[in-house]
Amino acid sequence: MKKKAGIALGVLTAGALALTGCAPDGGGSGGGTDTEFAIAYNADGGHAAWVDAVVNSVAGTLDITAIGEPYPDFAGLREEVTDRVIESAFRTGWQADYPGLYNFLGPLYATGAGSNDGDYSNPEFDDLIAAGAAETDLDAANELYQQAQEVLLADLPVIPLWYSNVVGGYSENVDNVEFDWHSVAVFDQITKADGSVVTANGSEPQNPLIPTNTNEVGGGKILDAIFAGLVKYDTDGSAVNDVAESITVDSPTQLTVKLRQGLTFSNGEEVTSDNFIKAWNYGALASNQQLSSYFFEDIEGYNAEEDSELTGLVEVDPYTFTITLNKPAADFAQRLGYSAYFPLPDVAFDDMAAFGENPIGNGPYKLAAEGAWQHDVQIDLSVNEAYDGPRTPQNSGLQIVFYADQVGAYNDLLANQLDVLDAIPDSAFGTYEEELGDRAVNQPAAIFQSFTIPERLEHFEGEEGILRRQAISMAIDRQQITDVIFQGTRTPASDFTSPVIDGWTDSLEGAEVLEYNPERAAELWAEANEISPWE
Amino acid sequence: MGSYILRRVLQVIPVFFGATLLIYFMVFAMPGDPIAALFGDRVPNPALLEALRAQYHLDEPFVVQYFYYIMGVFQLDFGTSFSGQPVIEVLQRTFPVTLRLAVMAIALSFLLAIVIGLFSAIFKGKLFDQVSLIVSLIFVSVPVFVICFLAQYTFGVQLGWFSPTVGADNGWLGLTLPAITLGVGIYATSMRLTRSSTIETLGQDWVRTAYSKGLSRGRVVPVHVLRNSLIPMVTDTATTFGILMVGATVTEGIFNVPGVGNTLYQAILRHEAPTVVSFVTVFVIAYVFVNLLVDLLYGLLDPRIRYVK
Repeated sequence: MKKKAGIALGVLTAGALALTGCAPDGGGSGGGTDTEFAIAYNADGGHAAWVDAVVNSVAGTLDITAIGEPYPDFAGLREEVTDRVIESAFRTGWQADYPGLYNFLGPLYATGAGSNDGDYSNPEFDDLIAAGAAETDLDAANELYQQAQEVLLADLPVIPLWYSNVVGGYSENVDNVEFDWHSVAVFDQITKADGSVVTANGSEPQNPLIPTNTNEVGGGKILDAIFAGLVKYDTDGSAVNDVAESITVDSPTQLTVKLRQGLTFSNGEEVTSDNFIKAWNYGALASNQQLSSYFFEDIEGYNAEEDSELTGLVEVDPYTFTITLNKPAADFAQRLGYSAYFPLPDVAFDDMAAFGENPIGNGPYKLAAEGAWQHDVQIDLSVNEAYDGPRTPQNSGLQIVFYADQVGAYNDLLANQLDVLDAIPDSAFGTYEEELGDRAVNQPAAIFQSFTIPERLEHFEGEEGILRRQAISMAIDRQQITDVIFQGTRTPASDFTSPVIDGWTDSLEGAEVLEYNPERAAELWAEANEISPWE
Repeated sequence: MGSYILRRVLQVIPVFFGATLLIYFMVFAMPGDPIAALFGDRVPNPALLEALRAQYHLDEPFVVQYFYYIMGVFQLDFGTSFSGQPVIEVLQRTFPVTLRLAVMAIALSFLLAIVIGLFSAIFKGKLFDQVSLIVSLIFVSVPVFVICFLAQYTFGVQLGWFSPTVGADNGWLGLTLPAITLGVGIYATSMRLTRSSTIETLGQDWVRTAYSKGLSRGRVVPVHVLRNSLIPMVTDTATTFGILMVGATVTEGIFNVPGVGNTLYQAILRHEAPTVVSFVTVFVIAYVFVNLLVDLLYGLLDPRIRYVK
């Protein structure tokens, strides 16, 4: 179970732990002859406490040796997972890009799918997912996805743990603060009595502010404020038209988009079909190396290997265009609120690097001035008077402050120096509700957390593997761990998606495998041992 | 004297190559693929991965990557971060902030150390000496982050005297609270050094001579004692200054100071070789120069020390 780079890894682990101030963890053991059950995690992500709790729960219930195995950082863990050389179970998680059930299922468990880290494959599941993708009626499609989830509950390709909550709060200076399905405050509707700009926490964007090249929350939060897409998502996750006047699903592979006329970017340029078609083509073009290019892979003409035009995008007139897909994706309209699908003004294509530093958008806010993005410090946004749509700001502007450490952000909030915080630090989980009172927020978010036990691991293939997965799943006291370790800031999972997603249900057939049941777990483990003893 | 300085400056060259090579190798040897990590839990298209790796020369062997980096440096191009910013700009932005913080902290620590150390020596064994010993022991033994959090919560949240974090307000005034915290955290060692060195000086024959000539304490202590007690202090302060310029990572993190410590830490997590190597190289060179400055200061403080060759 130890890797060749054992020594280097050990040294680096110690360093990483010292830097992040985490308590050391007993993961370096492993001299015994017993078979160990290990869960690998990255030590830079604050996972040590819950991994220890989970392995202790498993070890205690099944009477086996179970350990947490820390990797110094995310990159190191990810590489072993991607190369399929990891010799243990490993932590996995998923944050939805758009509020649809498919987004939690297709990319993760379909045979050969990009993020199917455990190489799960079940034709029954694949068929149900494909049928759902071809179903244009949302309710009927969700019904098929729920059936697909029941297949997953029987197979447990990953062991669902809990949904992350958005744990935040706001200052005494602001009102009307609500957090949306994506764990971000709905900035436009916030009001501030003294009329000054609303301040919110954020992090330095890891890439230039180009919609198709931003795949992390720091940049995403800013882009969502300064751009408007065809649709926007309500707090409950339903899609509402923004720039679009209508989106018609003609067939599972064809959509027609009509734009509202007279909308402009903040530089006065009118928003037309062309702005979408050119922006999407830019994002999809292989040689542009955009991090979010995969959002265009379902559009006809997409090619990841070499440059090719998205022939599926056809302009009918300046305010109408059609989208032809290369495979059925009935939820495509639902995806269109994601930042990768934002339009770009013509000026962007002259010098994309310069544009990424001072982007010009069509959203409710705009950069307060040239150079408003002070790197590593903050970005100042003012109200974009040209914006006309469902997100018209009720405040005078937005300042997103980049924090290196959430404790500092939390203290700023307590001192009313910061208005909105969407990430209360772990260290304040025990006290924030008392300190903030009714200004504290704790609600489920579109984040699903789990750990994956690949089928290729010894003892985890076939019938034996299914029994052992069920036993491990039922050996975990999710309720207790979310109460004690997370102080109620996680919600125990009852499926593979998230409660904020339209179509979610907690009454799937077979969901009892996610409930703590030590007796049944021990029985199932014993049954598996009859197939092949655990030693 | 001139040739001595020249020789010391020339020493920077091997130090530069040694440091860059070593640091570059350490970042290279970190396990994991930084490009794949850019995509989080998603697995990106292999073609895109390859293209991005090629862009940062990450697909080349170590020696080639290092060669590209050094060639860039000779053209004053220190590479770009994954976010597309030239590393030189990041340095120009963050270094002054850290420098301000370091200067303020050192000035405070130096002042505290001299005043308290001097009086502790003069009143050796008296109440003042014992209290200052206990206080300095507390500051030495309490971890930096505890002092930081305590100061932030007390003066930032409860009393509201300062903003809890620094952020955009990173001028001299805005850095007051972190500078005080940092200065208080490091003054103890210098204080103890001043004290023991002053006690030693006070026992010298020429001090007794000065007193017996009828000079007042107000003249003897500052002129005859202090100057001769300063040499260990100067060494210690310079060393601390060198350490602080590397960025007080913990303090910067807690007070959200946009300085080098914070930036370097983030860059290490992201395996951004150009950023990490350029930052560390600048630190090494700065450190070498600070040490040179200290050696020259010795000569000013004590004319017996001369660098002839």
